[in-house]
Amino acid sequence: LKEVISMVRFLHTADWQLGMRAKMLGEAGELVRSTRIKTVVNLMKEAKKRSVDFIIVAGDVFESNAVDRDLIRRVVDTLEEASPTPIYILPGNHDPLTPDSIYKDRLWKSVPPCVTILDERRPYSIEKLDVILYPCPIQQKVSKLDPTAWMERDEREAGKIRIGIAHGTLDIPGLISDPNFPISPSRAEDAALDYLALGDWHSVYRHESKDGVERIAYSGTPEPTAFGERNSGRALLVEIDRAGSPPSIEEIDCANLRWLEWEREIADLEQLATLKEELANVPEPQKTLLRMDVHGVAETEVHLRIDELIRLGMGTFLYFEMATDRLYLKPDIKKIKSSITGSIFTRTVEALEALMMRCPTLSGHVSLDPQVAEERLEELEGAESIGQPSAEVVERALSMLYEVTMEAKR
Amino acid sequence: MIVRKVQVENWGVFRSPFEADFADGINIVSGLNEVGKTTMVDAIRICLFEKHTARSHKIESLVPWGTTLSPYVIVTFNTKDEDYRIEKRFLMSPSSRLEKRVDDKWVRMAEGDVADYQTAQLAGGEVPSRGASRPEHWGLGQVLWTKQGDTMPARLNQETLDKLQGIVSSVVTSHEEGRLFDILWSKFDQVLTTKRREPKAGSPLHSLLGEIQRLEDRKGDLNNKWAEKEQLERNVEDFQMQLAKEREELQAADKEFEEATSEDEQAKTHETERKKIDADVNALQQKWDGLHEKVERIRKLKVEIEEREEQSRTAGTRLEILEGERDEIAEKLVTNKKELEGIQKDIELLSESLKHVRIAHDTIEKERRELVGFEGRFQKAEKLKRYVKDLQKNLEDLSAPSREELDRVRRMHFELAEKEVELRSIGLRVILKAVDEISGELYLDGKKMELRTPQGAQEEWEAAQHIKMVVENFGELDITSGSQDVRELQSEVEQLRENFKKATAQYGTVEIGSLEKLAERRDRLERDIQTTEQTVSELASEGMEELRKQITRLRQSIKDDWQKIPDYSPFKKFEVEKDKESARAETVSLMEKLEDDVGHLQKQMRETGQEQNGIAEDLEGKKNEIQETRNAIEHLTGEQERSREYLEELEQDGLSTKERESELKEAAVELERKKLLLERYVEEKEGKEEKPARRYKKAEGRLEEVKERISRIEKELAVEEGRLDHLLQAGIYTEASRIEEELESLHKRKKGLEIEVYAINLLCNLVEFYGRQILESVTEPIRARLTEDFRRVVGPKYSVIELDDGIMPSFVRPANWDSSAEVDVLSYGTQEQLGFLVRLALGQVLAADESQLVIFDDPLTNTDDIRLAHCLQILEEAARKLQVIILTCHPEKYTALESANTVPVGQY
Repeated sequence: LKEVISMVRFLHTADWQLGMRAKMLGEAGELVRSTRIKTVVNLMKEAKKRSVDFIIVAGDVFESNAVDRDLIRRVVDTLEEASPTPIYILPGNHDPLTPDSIYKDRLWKSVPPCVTILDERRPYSIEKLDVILYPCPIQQKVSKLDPTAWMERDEREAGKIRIGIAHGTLDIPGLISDPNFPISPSRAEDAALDYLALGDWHSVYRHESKDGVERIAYSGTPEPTAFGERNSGRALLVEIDRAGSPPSIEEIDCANLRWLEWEREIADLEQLATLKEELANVPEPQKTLLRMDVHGVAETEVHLRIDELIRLGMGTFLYFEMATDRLYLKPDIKKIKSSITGSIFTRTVEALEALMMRCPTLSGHVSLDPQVAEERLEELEGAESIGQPSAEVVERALSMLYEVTMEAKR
Repeated sequence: MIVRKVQVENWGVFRSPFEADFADGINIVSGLNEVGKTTMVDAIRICLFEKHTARSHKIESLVPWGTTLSPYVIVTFNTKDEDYRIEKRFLMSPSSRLEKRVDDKWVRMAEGDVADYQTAQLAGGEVPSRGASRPEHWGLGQVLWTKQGDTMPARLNQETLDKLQGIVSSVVTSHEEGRLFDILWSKFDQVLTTKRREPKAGSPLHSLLGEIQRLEDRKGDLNNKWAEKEQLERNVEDFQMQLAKEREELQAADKEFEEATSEDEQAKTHETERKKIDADVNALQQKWDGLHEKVERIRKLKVEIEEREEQSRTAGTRLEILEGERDEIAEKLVTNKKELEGIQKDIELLSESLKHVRIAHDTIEKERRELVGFEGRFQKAEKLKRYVKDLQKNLEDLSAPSREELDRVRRMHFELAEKEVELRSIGLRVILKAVDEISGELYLDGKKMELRTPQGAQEEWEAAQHIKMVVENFGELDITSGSQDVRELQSEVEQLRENFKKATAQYGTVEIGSLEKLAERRDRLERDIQTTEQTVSELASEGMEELRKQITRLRQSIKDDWQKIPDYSPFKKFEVEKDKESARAETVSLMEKLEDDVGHLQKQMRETGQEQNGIAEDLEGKKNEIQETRNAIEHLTGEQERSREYLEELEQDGLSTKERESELKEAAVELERKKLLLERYVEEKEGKEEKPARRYKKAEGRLEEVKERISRIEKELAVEEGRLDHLLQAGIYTEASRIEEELESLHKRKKGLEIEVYAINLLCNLVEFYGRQILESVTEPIRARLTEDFRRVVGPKYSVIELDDGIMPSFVRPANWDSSAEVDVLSYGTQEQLGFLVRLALGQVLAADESQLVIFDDPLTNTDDIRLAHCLQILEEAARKLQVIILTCHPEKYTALESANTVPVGQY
């Protein structure tokens, strides 16, 4: 039946970014990298399961042409998973066909016959199917030229489904200024394409043509690559009944890891407790990367507990990061001062207060008599060992003094 | 803290209960030596700081002598405006109880160890954890309470000084503060080094920095590898480009080589032809050379043969002449030999004669010399022997005394003479003076003498006993001596005379002189005999008999010699010749003549011999010459034979000389033709052979070079590709990724840790800074106070006093001096005053919050009255804030202190 109606079904994926460096992730980076391969393996299996006719990878299989050769071997193994489904791989801006291209490596000679590297700008006919591919392999890292410009309407063969494959930025007016590899949004109509499979954007994006049909789409990356990506961790399953039919597009969720970004305000211990509970409720923390930004003005006690929370998060999540730059200390000076009597101690606290007053971010939270503050600062000017401590250090010193004070009281 | 009251019992000298009350301000505890002033003050210290269970030597020494009583003490003290009472019993059933006054009642606070502990704490010190309490346990007491003999608290050890500083700072540091600082410093110690304030080894930041460094290093390594990888990639690309270029070059070189090869083949054909013609020329030339040589050789051989025949003939003639000469010389040689033999015979004859003459001469000489000598000696010896016999006869005939007899006779003669003199002296003497001639007879001792005395003469006689004179014409005169002695002496003399006569009778004389002459003669004879015998034995040393035998042997020998001369010899006559002298002369002249003759003949023989040698040499020479000539003839004959054989061989072709010459001509023509052809080919060689060959070689070289270059580039490419491959396999990218990520995370952690460490450092620096600031605020008043007080006591002599770290005066600076002097250089008295003032100043400063007890044990003993007055004035002022207890046995020194409370101890 399929042959009669010449329908095709294929998987559109891109931006595998294998070998990706996740600098900010620290030790979690290795796991994030290995998970990407696992995700691709799953995707290949899924494609086979869904009986696709072929698979299109629209660029950036590799993070870089510089990745280790070992990774090529693993990718080749991965592609075996889909065999004998034909796979068409387009070099992207991360793995362009430059002289050092990874696709020129000898290891590709051992690739299964179903794999084709689309390294030429020419129509590729797919055997047994009425499909012609128009790939736009990337030859360099940066370009202001539309890689799809070469596709020509004239060569159209009647009844053949025309699919363009490109990697670049869809040049929608006003969306992105100065795009790299700009791609005309009207390329599908201009080149009479039934579908233009795009790569480069890590989130799914489906572009509606003037006639209201979605013929251009970004599949996004199958595994998110950074915090703040929306609609990533997907692949597209595309079906086209015949030449000229509108494609039907299905999004497949295939991510293994979750990248969460939270922002919370903490001003007191109660809010802190709530946050702690919230964290405890996150499912599969070992597959979750969480970046959190906390803000507010809190007393020393909260600051001390925050550290505990961070330690807890780091021990629980695959990756945990809490930015506390905007969490300001409202020191319990009175409590500290009233805890211990003694002139050395009192002067030390006063000196810290005076130092805080000097820091713009902290000055608002101290209420030392300006005259005393001035006296202390004046004294300290003569003390070489004190120097000019940063706001963070002063803040930390004060909370540490608080901590030690409480310990001494016990 | 101040002490209000002390009560003791069974406490050293205080066996009975004793108590003393102390007022605020000054207390003068006075008493004679050993009444227990110091004991009492010690009791305060022991009660406050020793455990009630203490059993130290000090405690045990408190037990009153000869008892087992328990020392017992109660001290009432005030601190922080509260009154406390501590009661302790030591050794036997020890106990301790602390009470506090509440509403005028004593309320128990604690007992036992707790009481000990709390009391020490209230008093500002502590109980020792073990053993007896030491100054560092006494709180302020260690500086404020002087022991007897102490001048300066500076004598305290370092530990105490540290403690003191602690105590002083503890005035400004609360207990909580202290704990807090301890915690802070222990945190500091965990993360930073004290001196350089660097991350401490083993601290998290230190480890982290190490790890970051390690990763950065590794990252650097990887970057280098990456750079290497990129370089290798560029190299590979370069090599590939070169390779492509070289391959184009290879094609061009290949084409050129093909063309050159075809040209080269034609050149080779030309070369082959040229070489063939060259070979033909060579062959023809050889043929012509052969023929030409043969013709020439035949001609030369024929000439040679003729010449040699002529030579042979000449040699034969010469040989004949030589042989004739040889025969002549041989004859001459025979003659010469005969002549030589004749001379030899003559010499033999003459030699024989010479021999005989010599024997005759020698024998004559033997007769003349030896025989005559021997015989002469023999005859002389015989004669001397006869002479000895005569002498011996004379000796036998001679009657002469021996030397011994002579000596005896002499002795007898002497004795007789002596006796006779003696006899004469006692005998009779007659002196007769004749006036007229007197004659008659005289008898002397009976001996008759004739008396005849001429006129006018005087004569004298002597006799022993009797003189009788018969004078003619006169009568007789008879005189007799009647003495016995004379008769005896007379008889003795008579006897002696008799003996002497007998002794000398044989010698025929009684004269001593004659006897001596006889003895000498005898000696002479004996000497002569001896000398002569000696001469004989010398003449015939071998003995007479032997000498005779020798003579006989010699005569025989001479006879034998003569026998050696044959009878026919004319020299035989000399045997019988009597005149040996003339015979000898004759033989000598004969010998000389014969020797001359022989010498002459010998010379002649030598000459003839030499002549013979010359002839023999001539003969040999001639023979050799003959042999040489024969050899030459033989050689010529051999040569001739070989030449003939050779000629025969050459002429075996059977050609005539003419035919042979014609053949030679033909060969010369053919050779000339071929040579011309060869010349043409040689001229063509450069263009048709060498040029194409060079081109071929060049093309071949170019091809080789290109191939070589390609191979070299391929090799280098393979090497670079291999290295690149190796690097690509190394997993640099993955490792670099991991390191970047790890570094990022470490840097984040580093920031956190750094803030932590900086915060600790900041806190500690602040605490240290303020601690020092406040400590200075405490010590400065002490120093100011002390300086001021010291100046009051000693005058403006010293302007400044400096305190050391232990808050003890270390230097004083005399006024108008730039540098300071150490306290030790001060006089003992001044030091003592300084020590006194230090305690007061310290006490006043330490008494900022509450009054403190200062104890002096007989201070200022070396202080003069003026300074003492100043000191007491300062003491009075200080006592407004302090409680002062002064122990003294000179209470009169303190009478100026009107406000002082006096505590007498014992009977004063």
